[in-house]
Amino acid sequence: MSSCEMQRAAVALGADRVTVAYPQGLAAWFDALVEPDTGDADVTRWVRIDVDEPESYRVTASTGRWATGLDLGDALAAFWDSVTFQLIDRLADAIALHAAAVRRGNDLVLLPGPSGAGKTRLALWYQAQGFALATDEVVTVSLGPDPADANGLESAALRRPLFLKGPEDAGALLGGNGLATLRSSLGTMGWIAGAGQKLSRPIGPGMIVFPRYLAGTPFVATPLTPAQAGLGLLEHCVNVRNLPRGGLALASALARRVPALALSYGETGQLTGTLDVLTRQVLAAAPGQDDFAALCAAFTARAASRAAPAVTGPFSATAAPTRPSRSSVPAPTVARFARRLTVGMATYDDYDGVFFTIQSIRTHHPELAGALEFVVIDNHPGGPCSQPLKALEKWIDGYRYVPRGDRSGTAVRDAVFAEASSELVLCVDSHVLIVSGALSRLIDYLEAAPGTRDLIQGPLLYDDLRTVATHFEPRWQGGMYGVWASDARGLDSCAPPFDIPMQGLGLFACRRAAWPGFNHRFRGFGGEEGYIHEKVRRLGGRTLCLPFLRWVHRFARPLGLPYPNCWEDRIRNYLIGFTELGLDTAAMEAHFAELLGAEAASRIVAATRLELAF
Amino acid sequence: MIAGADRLLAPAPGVEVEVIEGECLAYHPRHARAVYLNASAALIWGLCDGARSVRDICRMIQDGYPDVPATLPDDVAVALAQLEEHGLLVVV
Repeated sequence: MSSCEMQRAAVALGADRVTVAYPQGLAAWFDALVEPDTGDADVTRWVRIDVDEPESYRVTASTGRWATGLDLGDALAAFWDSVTFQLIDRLADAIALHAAAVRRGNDLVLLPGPSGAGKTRLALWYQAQGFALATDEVVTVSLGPDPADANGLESAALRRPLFLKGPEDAGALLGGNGLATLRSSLGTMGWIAGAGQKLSRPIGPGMIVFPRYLAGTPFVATPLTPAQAGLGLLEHCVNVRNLPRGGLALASALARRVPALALSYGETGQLTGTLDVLTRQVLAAAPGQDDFAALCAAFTARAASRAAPAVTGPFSATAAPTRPSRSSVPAPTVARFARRLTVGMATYDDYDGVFFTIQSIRTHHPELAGALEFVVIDNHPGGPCSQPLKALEKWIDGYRYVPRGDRSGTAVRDAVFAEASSELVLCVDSHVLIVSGALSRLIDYLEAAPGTRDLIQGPLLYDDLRTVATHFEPRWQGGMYGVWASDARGLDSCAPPFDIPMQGLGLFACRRAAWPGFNHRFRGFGGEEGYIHEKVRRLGGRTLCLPFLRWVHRFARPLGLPYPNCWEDRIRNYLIGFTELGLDTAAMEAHFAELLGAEAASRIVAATRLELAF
Repeated sequence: MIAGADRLLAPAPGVEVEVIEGECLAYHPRHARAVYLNASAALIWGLCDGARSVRDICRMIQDGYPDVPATLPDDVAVALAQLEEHGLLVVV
């Protein structure tokens, strides 16, 4: 029998700790999940793993349970089962849920469910969307010390290896996430570097998803009433007998305060563009019950519309097509309109936005009739909005339809400048309103400065139509460089223009010849603000706020985004833009490492650097 | 009228209840089981106070909700049977 030097440590769940001991030679399987033994762990609760012989392990615990002759996978599985049991066995001041959990900022998304429901699979999918993995096994929820803090709830997540019980794709699913994996009799365990990071302060649950994964089933998100959610929580409560009233009060408190849904799905591809968007909206907006139910219905409908019709079989009377049909791409408008100003916008399936933006300009800026060209870049040609967008050319003077699907994302706005027939160009998002008189004054301002290389913007009006944001503060927040801010010089619409560091690009104007353009490698969304402003300045222009140029932007997307918007594109664009400009990327990389986890962020950065090297 | 219309039913001893927006979560400690009652079931359960018969309960619901369907007595009987089955009600 070989002897191994033993390492002593502790595993924590909230304020509770269990003492653990393991051979030094196995440290790699434990170090990221345990805490140093500071002597305050309960020594009456312990679990240890010993090496009996090479490749044969023994697990013993203070409960009196033991198992010998185990291979490493089974030994680690038994070890963690025992640790988990001891942490929750006497837990009486919090409800312990058999649940996975993922974190985004200060919010936890709880994924309660029985074994085999797909909790780990769903948690790994969330991780791929930029959420931090907290646990795939146990979450505790208690009433926080400050009822006024967030929703008055505190959570703790048990850090331990992931465990996938379905053998058919477990290795691929876990291995595809860059994990170390180990097989046991009960399934595959995976270790994610940085997963289950200890929270520096307690955070509260922001959403509950009860998953049910069954291959081949459609995506259905069913909102739960608080009482239904409370039932689900109690069904997955693992310390019921310790809790007053069977945990009824705690489960009810949690269910009252946190929106919950039951999720059925058949493959993770159904979740992108549906559950990720729904989750982000719920965490950002904390919707009421009716709004939450509407969101669930909308995303379920969206998933259904994206699903390909099933082929009914060789003997059916009619065979359904296996792919959704697409419209043909309309021809671009031939006519061009060199006018005093081209108003251009790129759109992806936002017919309503285009219609109301343009018609609002025509209605509320009647003095400019005949003076404007409207250029609409259809970034999803052949999509559901293409024909209606094309049809507007019959009704709107100066309107041009331009299909451009070759380049997706924010940088397609270069096409507005490439297609504009006028010297002066105003580029807007396809869901922007502009205050009356502002466009006339803009044209006058630019015509009075021929040859200017300036980038012209204006204050964003909030939905109250009083509060303004004149610029972006150049700092990182929430995965974005730039935070809305207000300069007092912009509060008076008659005040003179002033320099700003950057601003949201929902509305900006530039001479067509002075437009510097986005980096041709940009893809998807994110990374454009700040980058384009710096480029303008380096080319001799100023970045200005014109206080009279006020605009309103529709931000809410109750039905979600019709296009993908992912962290990979955003980080990639920032890195490309900063590299082009020779700017230091350290702060950007540190921000995303904190937001997404060091491994997830560094993986994207490394892939982008490799791409830039060629 | 349904059979057992004169029975008196009351909440089982020890059952814990949380009323959440018109619905109920009930927990039976002996069975260590939680039960969800939708708004209709919660209303019926709440009317079972040991002094009202099944007939009384049906009449009270009809008085309060004149548009209830004619199947109300059968619906109430089904609900009461389920509540008894889950151990939430006992016959007085």
